[in-house]
Amino acid sequence: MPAILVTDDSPTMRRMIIAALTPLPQAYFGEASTGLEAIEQLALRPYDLLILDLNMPDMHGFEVLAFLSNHPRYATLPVLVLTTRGDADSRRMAKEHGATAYMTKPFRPPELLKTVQQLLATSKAVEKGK
Amino acid sequence: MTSEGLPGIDGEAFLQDFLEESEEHLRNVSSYLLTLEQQAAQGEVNEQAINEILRAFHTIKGLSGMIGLQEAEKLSHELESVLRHIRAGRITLDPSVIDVLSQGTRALEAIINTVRDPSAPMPDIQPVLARLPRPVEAGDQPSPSPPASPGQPILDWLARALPPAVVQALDTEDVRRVERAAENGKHIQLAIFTPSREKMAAGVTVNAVREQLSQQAQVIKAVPLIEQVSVNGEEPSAIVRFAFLLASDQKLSQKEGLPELEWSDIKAASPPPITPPPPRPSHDRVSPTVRVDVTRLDRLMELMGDLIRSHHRLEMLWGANGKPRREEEILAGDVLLEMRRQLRRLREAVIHVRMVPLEEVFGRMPLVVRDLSRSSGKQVRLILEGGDTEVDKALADRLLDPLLHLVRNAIAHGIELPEERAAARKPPEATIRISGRPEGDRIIVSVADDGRGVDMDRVAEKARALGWLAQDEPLTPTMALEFLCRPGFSTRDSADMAAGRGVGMDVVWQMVSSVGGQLEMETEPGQGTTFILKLPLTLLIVAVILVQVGPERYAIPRLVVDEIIEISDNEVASVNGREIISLRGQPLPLVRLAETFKVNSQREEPPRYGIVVSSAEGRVALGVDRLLGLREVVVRHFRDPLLSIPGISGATELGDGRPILIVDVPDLLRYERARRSR
Repeated sequence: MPAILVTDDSPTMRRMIIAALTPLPQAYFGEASTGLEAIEQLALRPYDLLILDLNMPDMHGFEVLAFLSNHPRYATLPVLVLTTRGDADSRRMAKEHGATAYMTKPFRPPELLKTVQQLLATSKAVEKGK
Repeated sequence: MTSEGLPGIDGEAFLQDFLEESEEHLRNVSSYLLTLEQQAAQGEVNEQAINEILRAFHTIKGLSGMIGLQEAEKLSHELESVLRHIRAGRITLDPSVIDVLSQGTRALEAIINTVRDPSAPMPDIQPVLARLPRPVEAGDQPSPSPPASPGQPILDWLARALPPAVVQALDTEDVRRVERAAENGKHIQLAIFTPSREKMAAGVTVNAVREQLSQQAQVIKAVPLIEQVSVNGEEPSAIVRFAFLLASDQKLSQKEGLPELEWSDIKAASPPPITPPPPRPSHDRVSPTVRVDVTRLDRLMELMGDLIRSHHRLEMLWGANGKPRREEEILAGDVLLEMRRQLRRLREAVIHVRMVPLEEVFGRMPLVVRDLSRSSGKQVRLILEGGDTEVDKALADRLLDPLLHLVRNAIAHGIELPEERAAARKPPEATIRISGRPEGDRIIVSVADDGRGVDMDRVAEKARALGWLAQDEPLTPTMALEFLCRPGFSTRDSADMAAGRGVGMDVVWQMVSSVGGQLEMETEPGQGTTFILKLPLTLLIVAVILVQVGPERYAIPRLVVDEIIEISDNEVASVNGREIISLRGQPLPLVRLAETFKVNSQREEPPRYGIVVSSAEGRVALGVDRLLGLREVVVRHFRDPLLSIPGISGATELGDGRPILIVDVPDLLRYERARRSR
């Protein structure tokens, strides 16, 4: 049963993302509206994947990425950055900060689903390999 | 609208969400633009407002893209770019720029409106796009006000005072904000919040804490920390905490109704500078709620009560005059009537301000149930209903303990172990249902379990052993409840545990009767038990029936009154030394208030009116001499135990300075029963 944390400051966007991922069998979805909340949720419950928006109040997505990559505990957590900004700069920066994958909004639900499935499969393989 | 955006998803399902969210963002944009305009006129740039507007356009852009609303996506993208240029100093924020931004916002509104109303024409965005300002080329001219970099002293000072992770997270702008706040004589503090699942279950999350802090201080930066903590010499584990760097006028501490935080002072407020600080921007933070100290609301309520009393006096003065009235006096009477209505509306409004959702109390229960069910080995599912029902804050606060007791008792004594339940052909997982709902001018809160129910035979046995119940007297359900609530009933004797209810029921009883409410119990062997708390909406003002007993006046809360009957002399019969009257063919005990309160009544004949009240003791008629009417009064509760009188919960006055005692009916009837059995 994969657990996925969906982080976006727009509640409608979070619902859209979760709707796109409902074909995943028995997935658990956590939601966070800020970077701080995402870190809180990650601290209190194990997650298999973090979906992260970049432009959020208080704590930018990059700051969340930086925090996660500084702590070994989150080293194996795959992070999919899903952001409206599509310029090469933010894609490069997201990668530099440790994002596993990068997609832009508007997204096509089947593509999001496919990417998430791949990330989950990889994360499972890593778990097994340990 | 194309369905391109969300293939495989019913895009329609999100249209309402999209509309609501975008419209909220647009409203915020409009008010932030106003703030920007006002401040730009004074030569200031409110960076926070710029960021908020930017993020609103950014979010609308993303959402519009998802539902395939390309015009909105395009326009919000362009507007967002303008804001980015303003933030970077490449566009100067002058009135003409704000004008264009306002026009752009209105056009965006019109585009989004076509989703709501497909017959509305799609506006042409080209004219707006053409008017948008272009950024000045880099090097063309210097940015309008090159920001001064913060001085070294402040950096050194912060590095000494703050944990390294916090210092690292501060950018130049954050440091400048600390510097400005310190210059303006603010307190600089660091508050650390440690999240936990328990806190999260109770709604105390990092977002909630941040929101609460931002009501009382400027949150300069919120930083997540990770720390290695070793508990009891175990392998150290990583704990995530959050540090909030705050600037505020006054030193904050645990007392401000804030959740559990660790505080450290970074810098005490210095005397304010000679030049007064600029006025706070009105849209510093757009929030629909205001937090008010409950003591201020109490004060408001007291003033409200004074006003009600003054009105009573006026009414009495007006009513005292038995002479035929002149025209002005009749008009004054109308005004008095009007005033009564206004006071009622004002009272309702004031009470409403004090209301909080029951959720505040209910939210504590899941954790308690989880812990107890784990420690007892019983499987319990908790259902909470009606958490949005609103009650007086003071009542909500007093409801917590009784609910905790009822839930603990239900799990400890009512609910069986899974094996026992299976043997009784019940699902192994028991259910506790806590619900709240308004009913007229009261609130009904119930706690129901589907456990074994109260063993009435054992309760009777125990009550007889204690001498509370005669050997041949049958045990009625109301008596059973009353016995369960007596402090002496429960001991640690295992027989009591098996009888159904353990410690703490007296706490429940006391709370309910102290607020003038009623407690009821329904129990079915093998099916479970339900406790029902009927409580007033507010504790400070109650509707009462004013009665006269001899020379004294008393107030009886209307909540407990079923009906009022006239008593004729020959109706009163005496059975076993108790006076009985007949109500629709049924015998009803008569309790003369004159006797109970030892009032010097000259009358030997029976009271003329019976106030029929019910409590856990059953129904009785309270005998009184005269009815003075129905009033809403402000209750002054007796808090001093030395002032405690059996059967009296508090006092009020109507404006003539003479106190009127408020009858606590359940307590009075218990007292009566005890008096009789002596």
